[in-house]
Amino acid sequence: MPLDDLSDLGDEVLLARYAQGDRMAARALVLRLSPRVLGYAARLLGDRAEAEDVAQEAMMRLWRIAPDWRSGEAQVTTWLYRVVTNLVTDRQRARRRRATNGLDEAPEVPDGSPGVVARLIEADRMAALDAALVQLPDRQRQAVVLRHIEGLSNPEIASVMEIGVEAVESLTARGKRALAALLSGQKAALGYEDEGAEA
Amino acid sequence: MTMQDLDALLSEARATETRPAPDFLARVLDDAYAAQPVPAAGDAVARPGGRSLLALLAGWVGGFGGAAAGLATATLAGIWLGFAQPAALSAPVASVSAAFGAETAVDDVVELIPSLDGWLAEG
Repeated sequence: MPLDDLSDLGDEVLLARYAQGDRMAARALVLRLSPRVLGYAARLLGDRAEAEDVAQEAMMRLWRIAPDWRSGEAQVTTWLYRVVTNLVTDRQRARRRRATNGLDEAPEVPDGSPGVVARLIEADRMAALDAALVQLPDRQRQAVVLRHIEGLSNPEIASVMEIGVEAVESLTARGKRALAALLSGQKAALGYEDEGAEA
Repeated sequence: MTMQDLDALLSEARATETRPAPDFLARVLDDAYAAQPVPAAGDAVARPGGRSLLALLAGWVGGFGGAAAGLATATLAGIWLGFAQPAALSAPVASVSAAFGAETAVDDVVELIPSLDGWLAEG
């Protein structure tokens, strides 16, 4: 069966075929899911190489659980987002433990000073956004990325982050405000017209 | 930055497709193959289509084909009995006819399938 013919099949069906030894299903799953997993990990970590490690590990966990996957309990993508979220959280905790400068946890709302954002913002809008995202507190960043970039619904995010829907809404709202603060003053570099100049 | 500006930027990011490097995809695929369960001997699931075309045809012939063959046999047997008038059937049919009416001649009874000539002459 050509690979294109597998495009209509759901993730769970492909995973079941993978567990039965279907190598085309393995290829289809890699091509379908890897970009999403990698993209999400990269947004959370701000480091492509590290994101590849996390994405590869998350996919490995999917391969291992495939024979025991219980259909209908969770979406494959939601499960993967949860695995990536947990892997990233573990890495970030380890990174902080290794830090020797004794920095505290990131502030709940950043002070808006551009810092590294200012340098990157002139080069690329997406790089600027990513640089701002990594300055958000972890949970806010996860919620904002899942909601506004990955396009998940609030109940799906609640399942991924293992919190309530109201907590998701709160994290998303605070995350967006913090993100806007980080990017404030950079409208020209981002390509937006300066409202003050127009007046 | 207004929320509208931020929403536009986030929408732009959402539309930006992540392009994994080929070597990354190769590593993930290698992992997938290495971790993939091997089908048991004689298990015909290895093909992505589930059932192969040959198996599908075999099932069709064995199922629907068998039923069709039985129907054809019965039809041919009926035609044969009607036209050939086997002698072995003449006696039992005559006895049944005799039971319903002694005046019925044996020659009338064995006309299991009426001749088409009569129908054509009428029409």
